[in-house]
Amino acid sequence: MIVQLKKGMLELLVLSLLKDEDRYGYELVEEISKYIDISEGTIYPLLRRIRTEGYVEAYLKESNNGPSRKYYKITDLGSRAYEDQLEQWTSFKEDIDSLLRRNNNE
Amino acid sequence: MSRQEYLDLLKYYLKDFPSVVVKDIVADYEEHFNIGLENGKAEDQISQELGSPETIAKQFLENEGRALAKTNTGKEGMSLSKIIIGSILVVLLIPVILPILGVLVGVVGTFVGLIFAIIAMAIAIFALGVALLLSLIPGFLSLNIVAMPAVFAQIHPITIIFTSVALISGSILTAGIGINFFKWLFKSLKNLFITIKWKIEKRGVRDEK
Repeated sequence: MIVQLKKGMLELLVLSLLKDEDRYGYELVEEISKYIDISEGTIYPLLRRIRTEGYVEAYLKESNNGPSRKYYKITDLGSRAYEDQLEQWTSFKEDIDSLLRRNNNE
Repeated sequence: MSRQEYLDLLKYYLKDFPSVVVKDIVADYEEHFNIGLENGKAEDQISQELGSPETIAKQFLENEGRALAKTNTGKEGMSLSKIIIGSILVVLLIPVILPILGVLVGVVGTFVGLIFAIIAMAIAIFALGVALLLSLIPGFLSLNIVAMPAVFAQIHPITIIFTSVALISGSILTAGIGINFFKWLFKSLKNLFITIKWKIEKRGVRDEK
């Protein structure tokens, strides 16, 4: 179950990280891996999909050492999607918690 | 798994995609490996952390499938005003549209014609081979089911048998080539469509130096 759950949450996590600043794929993976264990390669299909949906834009920027890196920048549409998904997640989490803890309250 | 092995596997699982698309996808993973190596990780470790190339390829294929389905259903949300403007445009553009439509119908017609021509050719060659074989059966010619030229009766039976086998094999070969040709044609058209879509979406990536 946890694998599917992680896969579903990845979009919200990526949008959340991009809210702060533009980042490249490797950076996103690195940041997320600090908190949860994910199959890192799945980030790129996800980035591709949210780019198609118009949530993020990509641009190439040269790094200090070596070739240019592909940076991702959140769009207005992406910011709105983030707020929306965050709210959905928060209320979902509360619902699940109250269901699971129903016996404690009795 | 080494970097090269990983990327090769990824390319293998993405083989249904046009080469432009595969190149784009693989470039992202090359970048990932490069940065990982710069940070002092081993190729093996990076491959492991990335996860199975097959799973990744599947997700890309799923994405494209979803995008294609979306373009097909996206037309439902048309408002009345859009439809009216659209209709007016169509009427105004008839002098332009008709010739284009004509060319399209012509091209499609050519290919449909080609399909039938190949099928007909295969069947004809096959029938000729079978007819030749049947002509070997004594008295078959006199039944007059098939109008067989009298010269056939003078050809040596072994020649006839070999000719029939050659003709029947030839017909199967023709059918096979035909089927593969159209499979190829269909795949190329699909890939062309995906490539165009991919290129259009890629406009967002610009160089910033």
